[in-house]
Amino acid sequence: MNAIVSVNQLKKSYNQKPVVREISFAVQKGEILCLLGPNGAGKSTTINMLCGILGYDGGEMSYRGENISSCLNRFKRNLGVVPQDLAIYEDLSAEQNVRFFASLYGLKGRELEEKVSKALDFSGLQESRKDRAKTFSGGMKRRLNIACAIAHEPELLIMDEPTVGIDPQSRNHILSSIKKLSQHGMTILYTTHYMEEVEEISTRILIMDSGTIIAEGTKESLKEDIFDERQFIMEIEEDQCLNVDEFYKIEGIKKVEKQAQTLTITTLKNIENLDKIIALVITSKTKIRNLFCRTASLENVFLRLTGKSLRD
Amino acid sequence: MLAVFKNNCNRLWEEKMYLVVSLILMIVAISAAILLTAHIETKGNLALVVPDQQVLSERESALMANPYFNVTVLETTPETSALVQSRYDAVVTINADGNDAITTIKNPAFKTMVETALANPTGFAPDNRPIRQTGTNILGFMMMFLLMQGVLYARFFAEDKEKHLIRRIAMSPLPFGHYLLGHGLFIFLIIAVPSFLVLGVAALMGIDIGFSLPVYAGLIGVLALLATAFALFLNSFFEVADTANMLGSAIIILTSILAGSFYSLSKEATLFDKLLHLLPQKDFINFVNALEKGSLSQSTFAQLVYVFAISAVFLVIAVANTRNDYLYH
Repeated sequence: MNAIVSVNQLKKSYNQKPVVREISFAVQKGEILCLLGPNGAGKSTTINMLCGILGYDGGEMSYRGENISSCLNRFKRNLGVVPQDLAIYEDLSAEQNVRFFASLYGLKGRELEEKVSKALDFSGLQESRKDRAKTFSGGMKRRLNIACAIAHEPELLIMDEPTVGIDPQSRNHILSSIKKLSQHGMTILYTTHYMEEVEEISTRILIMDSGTIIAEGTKESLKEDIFDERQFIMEIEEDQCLNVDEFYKIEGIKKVEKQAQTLTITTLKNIENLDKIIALVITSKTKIRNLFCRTASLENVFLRLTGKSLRD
Repeated sequence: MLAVFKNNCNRLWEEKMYLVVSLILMIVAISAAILLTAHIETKGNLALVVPDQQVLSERESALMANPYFNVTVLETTPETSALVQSRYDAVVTINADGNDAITTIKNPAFKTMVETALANPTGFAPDNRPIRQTGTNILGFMMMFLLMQGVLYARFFAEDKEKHLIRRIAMSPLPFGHYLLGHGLFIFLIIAVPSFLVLGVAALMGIDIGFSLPVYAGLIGVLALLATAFALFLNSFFEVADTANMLGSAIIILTSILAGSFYSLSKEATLFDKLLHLLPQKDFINFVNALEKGSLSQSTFAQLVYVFAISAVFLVIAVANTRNDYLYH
């Protein structure tokens, strides 16, 4: 494995109350690792500890196999952080903002100007580069917040809920930007409590709740591992000849529901029985208009793991 | 460090009014100091009441010639209201037997001084006059404004904290000390340079400003250091810029008045006066006063060292406190 950052047994308490409980994970090169969990799960605390602005009570963190404390400057040079709260100078222009934050990473002269321009281009703010940030919309400010973090082209980009409180259009722009950054080889650690964002961009997911990582894997594997069922949804022509009870004779069938022209069949996913189901429908002289397989969503996964909805 | 400094300059440029208002206040303070220095150095006004067309004695004539008093000869005793209105500082009545009586509403020290003058009008000179000279007065008047400017310009540091920008900066490879140094250098220079330039312009216009410009550079530097250290110290404790600004301004106004920035409140070695020496402003102004009068001593140098020491303590606490809040690795 090619881990950029590894976290081992990391823990943190506030006033004796544990908020991060000995979590361990690694961020692999080139991936978009999503840290998914409800508010208060410990995501931002974990990020803040990783970025060095919050102390921790135990555990260790390493960058490319070396303890972060002993290679802190090198780690920080290769790290870009998009904080949850907007951290931009509202009275300065977009260009001045990006230039300042990029210069903190040692960029200067022509290289600085080129990278500032590139970051503004990437964020779709080139045309507004001379405008003060305070004149921007919420979405533009969020994009500027990101531009300030990527101008120095970090190896690892940590994004702490970067789409909170913005319109769908800006959110889509940000999500597609993240995918583009990943295609360019940037490794991304992304925290969110929005399930749909994780579905869209993640290559791997850590699900966190009450300070603990409760599941880890790709979105497909999480759904596979946690659910042993799948559903076939069949749109059929209404036919009185179809006897729902007949389906229970097929191996693996757990539940069959018929509502108007929709037939929902829940079956064990490790048993291949779709051919038998279709054969039964056809034998009943019922026409199938449409058929699709519904798998569990991450929301279902989270609900199954924690017994509560992600937005509770 | 330079990135932080340049960024603060950009931020200030977007809020130029702060700089303009500061400069105006500085000019007003210096002008007031020069004008009030002239006023303070005016002579004492005495009313010499000589009834019944009595001929002035040699002693009374000598008093009239004394350079430290304006003596007005009257035949009748003026109303007490003339003393209240400060038309006269004291009324000296010569009785028929040649004895005199002094009436004043000023303090006993002043009455004693007039008595001394009457006893020896030819050789009288006020002993160790407490009046400040121009340079001391200018720096005394500037001091409060310079200290307040420190708190004003430290708002960029305070805003970094309030708007979480400092967290973002703490995550960057910029050494945290350089970040604070950048703010400190900015505050120091933005206080020191404009005020020095105002004095430079005054000197070029031929106005007596007391000290030479190089001496002013050093003294303003000391004040700017104190202002910078205090502003960073105060802001290191608060997350909200306005809280530090209001509290800092209140502390500076109160302590500057108590320390005698504008006029010395205590001339005696009372416990209160000794306690006032805890205020660095008091020590600074005493040093400046001694410097201008040419009466520097080991104790006045110690007062300057105290100002440096307390500035250093403020800076160390500010740095430690801020690092403690934002850095953990």
